[in-house]
Amino acid sequence: MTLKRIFPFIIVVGLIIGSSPSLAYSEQPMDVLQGPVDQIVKILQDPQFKNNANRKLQTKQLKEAIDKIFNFGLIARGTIGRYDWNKFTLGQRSEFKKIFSEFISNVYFNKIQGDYSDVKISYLEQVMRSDTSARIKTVVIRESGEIPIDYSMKLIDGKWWVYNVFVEGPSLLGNYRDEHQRILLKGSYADLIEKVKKKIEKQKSKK
Amino acid sequence: MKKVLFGFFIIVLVLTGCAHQPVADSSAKKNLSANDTEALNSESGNTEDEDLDFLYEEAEEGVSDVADPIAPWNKAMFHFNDKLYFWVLKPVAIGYKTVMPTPARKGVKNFFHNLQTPPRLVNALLQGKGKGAWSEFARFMVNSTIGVLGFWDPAEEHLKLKPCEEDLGQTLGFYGVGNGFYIVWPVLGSSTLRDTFGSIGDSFLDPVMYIEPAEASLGARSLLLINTTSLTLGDYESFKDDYYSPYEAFRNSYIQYRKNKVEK
Repeated sequence: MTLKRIFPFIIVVGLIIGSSPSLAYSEQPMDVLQGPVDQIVKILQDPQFKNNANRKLQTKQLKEAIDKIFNFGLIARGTIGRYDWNKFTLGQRSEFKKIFSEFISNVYFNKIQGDYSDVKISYLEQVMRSDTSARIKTVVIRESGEIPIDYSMKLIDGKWWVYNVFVEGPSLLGNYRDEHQRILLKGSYADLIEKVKKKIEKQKSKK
Repeated sequence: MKKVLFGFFIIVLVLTGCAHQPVADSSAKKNLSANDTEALNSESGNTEDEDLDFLYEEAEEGVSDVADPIAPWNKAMFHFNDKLYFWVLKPVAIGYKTVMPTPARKGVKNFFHNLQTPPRLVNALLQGKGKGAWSEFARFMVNSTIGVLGFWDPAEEHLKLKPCEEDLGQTLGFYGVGNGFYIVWPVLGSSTLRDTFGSIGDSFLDPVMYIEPAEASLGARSLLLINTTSLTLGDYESFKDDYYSPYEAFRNSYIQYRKNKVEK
């Protein structure tokens, strides 16, 4: 077999190998998002949970579905500017991540526990911003009107995670970065963590 | 024999190509984190090693740098609007809600939305959005007639004609006019210098402003306000629960909301 005859095969094989990383990403971020989000809506609309005795189970199921797609640690990290983050001690970093994750998951949790009996979600578009980064556009349709909600997703260790949510333009990450930046400009880490803890207390007292 | 060997060779290559995927995946990740040595070094003891530029960029994009030179006035007005909401608007809207079922309130919303077509249509034209302007025109024609004075929205339901939510503030933004600075108006709420001029300009095209006598016009605007409030009850409360300093959080959200609209 001459080199000339092998050459086209090498090209073909090269193409197959070259294209394989994109094959690895055949799991589309929109599908990854849609599974748990639809599940959340289903749990919220499930008539068996109208009964208060089943509330605990509902909460558990919701938390599981939420934790499947939201990377709260990453969200917490993004709300602190690089400069401020570097000033935090290692202990403060992990404490902040833990406390803020709890707060922000409660925020999301309380939001969806509003009236979701008539909600429908349509998944409009998946915009790939790079191989590992996507924006998913959705709209939440309620009887009183429509709310556009976009999700930013990132592929980390082979799994797609949500790290930002846009509601009609403003984003979760942007709003909290704005808040935290202002607090840390005037105050210290202690002031910040105290504010988050106070909010968590308030969330608990409302339940 | 040679052929068989070659076929085997290709199969092996293809298979390793497939098996190779996770490896390619993780090496791509290594390249990513190498870009971000600063974050890595500062992270000693932390297991996280992905490049976080995407995260920081998106967070920074979401922070508004709007000037707020009249903050004392704005804060006073924010406080006033807050009280207005809890003491007046909310109780009235709850009462209104109990006598007006949701479809009726949606009808009222549609009616006003249809009536206020002129500013949207003109601003779509001013921004050269022919498709949007056409959609507004067609929607007005269909909804005013078949939709019975705009109470129903058959244009969107059956003809998939979406409204084109433009206003003069957005048109000014489209042509590069900046926010100026942040202003909170009593009752009307968050705005900027640019959007205030925009609202004044748009009001000349708003039929509701031309209702005679003036009391009737005020009544119509009050009804619109109560109707809107009744459809969004709880949103403001939940927003306030989510942030440590509602005034600043509201300001940031408003600016981002408008920026998003101007870009659309």
